[in-house]
Amino acid sequence: MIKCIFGIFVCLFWLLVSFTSTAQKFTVSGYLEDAESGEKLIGAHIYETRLLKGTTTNLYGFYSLTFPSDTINLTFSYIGYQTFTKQIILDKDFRINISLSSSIELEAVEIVGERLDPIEERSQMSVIEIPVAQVKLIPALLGEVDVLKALQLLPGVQSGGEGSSGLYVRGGGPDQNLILLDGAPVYNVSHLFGFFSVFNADAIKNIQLTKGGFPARYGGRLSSVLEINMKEGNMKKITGEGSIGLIASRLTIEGPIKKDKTSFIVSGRRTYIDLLIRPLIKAASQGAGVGGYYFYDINAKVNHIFSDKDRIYFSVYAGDDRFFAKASDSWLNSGTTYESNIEFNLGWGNITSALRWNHIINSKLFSNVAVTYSKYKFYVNAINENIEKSSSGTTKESYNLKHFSGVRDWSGKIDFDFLPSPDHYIKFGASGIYHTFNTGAIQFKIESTNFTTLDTTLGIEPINAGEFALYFEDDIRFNARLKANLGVHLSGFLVNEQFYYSLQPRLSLRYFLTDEWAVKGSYAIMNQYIHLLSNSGIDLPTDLWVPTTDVVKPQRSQQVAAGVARSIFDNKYELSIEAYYKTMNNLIEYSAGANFLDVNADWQQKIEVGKGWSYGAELFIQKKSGKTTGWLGYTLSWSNRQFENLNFGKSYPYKYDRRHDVSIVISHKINENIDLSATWVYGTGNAITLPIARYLTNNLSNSFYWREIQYYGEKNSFRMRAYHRLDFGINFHKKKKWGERTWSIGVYNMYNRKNPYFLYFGNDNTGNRALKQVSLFPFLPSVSYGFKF
Amino acid sequence: MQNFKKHLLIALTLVIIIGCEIVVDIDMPPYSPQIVANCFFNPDSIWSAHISNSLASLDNGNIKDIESAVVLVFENNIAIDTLQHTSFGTYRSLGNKKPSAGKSYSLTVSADGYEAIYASDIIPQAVQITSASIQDSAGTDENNNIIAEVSINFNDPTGQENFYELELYQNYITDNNKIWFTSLDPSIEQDFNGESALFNDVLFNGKSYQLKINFDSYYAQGSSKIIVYLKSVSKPYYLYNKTVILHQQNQNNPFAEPVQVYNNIENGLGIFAGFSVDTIGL
Repeated sequence: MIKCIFGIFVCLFWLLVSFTSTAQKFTVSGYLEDAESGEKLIGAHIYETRLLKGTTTNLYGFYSLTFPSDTINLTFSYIGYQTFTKQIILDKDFRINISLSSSIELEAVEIVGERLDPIEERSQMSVIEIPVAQVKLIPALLGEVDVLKALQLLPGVQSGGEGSSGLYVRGGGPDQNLILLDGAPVYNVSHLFGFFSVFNADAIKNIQLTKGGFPARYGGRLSSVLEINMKEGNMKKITGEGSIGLIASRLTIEGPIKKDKTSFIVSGRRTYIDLLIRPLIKAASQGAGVGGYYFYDINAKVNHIFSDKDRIYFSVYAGDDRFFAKASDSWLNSGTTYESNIEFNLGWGNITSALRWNHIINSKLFSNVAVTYSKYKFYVNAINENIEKSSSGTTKESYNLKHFSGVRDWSGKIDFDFLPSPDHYIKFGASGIYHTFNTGAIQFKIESTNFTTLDTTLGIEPINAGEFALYFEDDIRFNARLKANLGVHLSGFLVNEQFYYSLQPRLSLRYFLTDEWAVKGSYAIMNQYIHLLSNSGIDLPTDLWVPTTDVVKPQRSQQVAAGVARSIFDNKYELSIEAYYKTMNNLIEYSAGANFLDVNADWQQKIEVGKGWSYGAELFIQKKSGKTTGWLGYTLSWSNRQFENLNFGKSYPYKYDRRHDVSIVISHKINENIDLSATWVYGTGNAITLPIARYLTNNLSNSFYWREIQYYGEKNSFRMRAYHRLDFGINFHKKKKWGERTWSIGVYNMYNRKNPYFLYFGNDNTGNRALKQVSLFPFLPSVSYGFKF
Repeated sequence: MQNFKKHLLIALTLVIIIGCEIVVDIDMPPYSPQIVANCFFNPDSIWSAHISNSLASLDNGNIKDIESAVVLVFENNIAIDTLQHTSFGTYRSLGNKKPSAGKSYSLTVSADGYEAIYASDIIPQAVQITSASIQDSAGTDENNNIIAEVSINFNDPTGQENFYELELYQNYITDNNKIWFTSLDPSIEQDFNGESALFNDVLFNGKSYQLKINFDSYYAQGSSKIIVYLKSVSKPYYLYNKTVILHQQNQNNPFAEPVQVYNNIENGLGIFAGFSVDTIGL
């Protein structure tokens, strides 16, 4: 096996060398940026009009094209920007940095920020980009713009339950998504039990979701890769934007530290329910108690251009959710003063940071070196303090209970983009991650003036693990019809002196059947060395991240997909139809009834291992530019699971198995001042387990105590009612002396559909036994005030 | 006008709150009531079983005892007794027959209007407590009460899977009162209910083992005796009791995955499980 891997890398190296030795060719390379802000343009299209060959800019706005010595005509284009054409006599290598200006005539009515590389051109499939501007137009729950909720509207992506921000991609679980913020993984993406997600759209530049046909550069998760890139900050002038909403407010400031050299962006968001209710709680408890809940996010980034060849970026994200309650009381009894203080804190949060250095080694070879840090922590901290003061002295007792769990990653990686000719786009690189998993510990501490201090920590020691990956991929244009992305990803994981590795071939192909219709196919093996243990249907912060160990094996998936793609109606719409089949092995679930607080038992003893498979078809029609934008998505899918010790070993539908899933998203700009948007979603009800019978039983411990037992049918054999909902939003913009203001009015669940949140058995009005459904969000209007300067 | 506004506000709030809960129709598969048998048997007790019926989950009726069933007990596949109805669905051996350890037993129950049921299980041989000791003061608990500690030793039989249940009683004159206890023993799950601890021999298969449990030292004081029950239970007994506890714990949590209670009755529901006991007084 090792020999084989070595062989592959030697071949790839020779391939590389052979490209570099090609003679009599010259290269044009450089960066593309927005003329107004200096923000680099990702995925912009550069095209030679005579040879009909081109490329796109990478994540850092870099491009490179190599042609034989000749006169060439290059066009640089990006949706919403004026196309720029340049003629070059190619007798040497050129470095050309281009600034594109917004299209003046379309400026106010178009969504900008999207690639012009048509869908049928790309060799990759199952990749969707949504412009951030579009995300901001989608009506949101209580007016809080939400990136993940927007992604849930895409075909192949399911949302879990009402209000959840989890992503269930092509039948996979919420832990199978690699969510990268500027290259650093984010482990928990939900605020307030999933009702809101952690990404602040004001600070985001680019969102790309890959559901299948994974290129070799991606690895480590089975079901999807979500790449979110933060804005870099305006290089030309200080600008800002923000909004004041019903539950949260946010503010973003960006600008140059040194014009055209160094820029920054800082963005913050905080909820303020706690600030509003704090005085009420205080008043109600006569000043003795305070409590509340809040969450906040901070994004910050600086970048500096050292030279034409070197640029560094440093970005940080921090977000926290916190519940807190405090109460104190004191009283006098027989000359003794008693004082009691109780404090309770529960919280969770992520910190990620990434330091990246772009270096242009030569006009064909671009490199990026990154060091990232990511930490997710969940904690409960309860303190109870009792003080007695009397003439004989003071005694004090305090009890402190802490529970904490989490995961911490340090990672380093190096990536190269090598563009030897317009027919090859080679990427290769290596990465290493040092993980520390804290799988749940309880610390119990008693301090007292009366007796000796007790300090006990229960739970297993943190687990350290190392993960590495090597990859190589080439996006090859064989001829005008056939294009392929071929690659190989090698990954390994070292934990408890056990070493796992996996060699994962990756392939995606595009072939033009006619001039318009492209057929695409892909195959990918993915390996995942971390698991998420979750024992509830909602996104609770108590869900536990655990590593692969000597007992628990890595998750592994294989996915094949095939489809067709083309642009329609004057290239204004993109159409794609894809079908997929995916298998997943070594999935883990809690054993029946197990839970996270049972720290004495090792989590490895509380799990079941099984497999899953899913298949389906997706239709996606998207319009990315013009006055009216949006998409229609439809998914027909099946997703199943099978565990030896669950459901008596029989296969059962996954909880989020969704036969039909429809989403329609439409935004329309009426004029410069008003735009409207609406979304409608429909989904088959979630699969649930319901009791089919009830009976009485007792146990020997107390033979007089009879209890009613529910007898369940097969796991997940029932369906909740179908989910559907219409949301509507309208924005009123107005130019002001200082900039622009926007009033946004929205309605969530326009026709007040009572969507299922959970079901239980109760009694109806006449006292008969009935199955009852609890819904969460009724018709909910919202309003917010936004500003830009 | 003010009043109207106030009423409107109250009405709107009510609509939102009440509007969040509705009765839904879900097609439930047709379900015919089944015979439910509850029978735990051990060498120290006369045969006894409780027979009742089950109902579909949306059936408004009451679960009833079945008083006219034919209840047969088999020992190593030979019919040994017909249990007779005494009261409230309880059937007993009128010949005062008791089962014996190490044998296998089965039960059949038939009643008009129901499909006949069948179940079988064994009584494991009682694992003897080889020695036990008590320490009246072995530290304090989180409420600063002094706790007592009982250590028991036993030899786990080799080459087989064994299941146990441990109980603690205070003997006061003639009554045995149950004592709640805790244990840090790794075999015992921390969330056990405190009145009886179920465990298996995965961690000490075939070895002699010492198990320690703690309880309030109040019970160890005075002239009363502490009695330890070490039950050697069958696998169905263990699985049933474990799942019943988990089932109860998760029953009212709409977000938790429901736990199916272990059932070893063919064509019916309930439990038919054997155990034997060894006790020691301290």
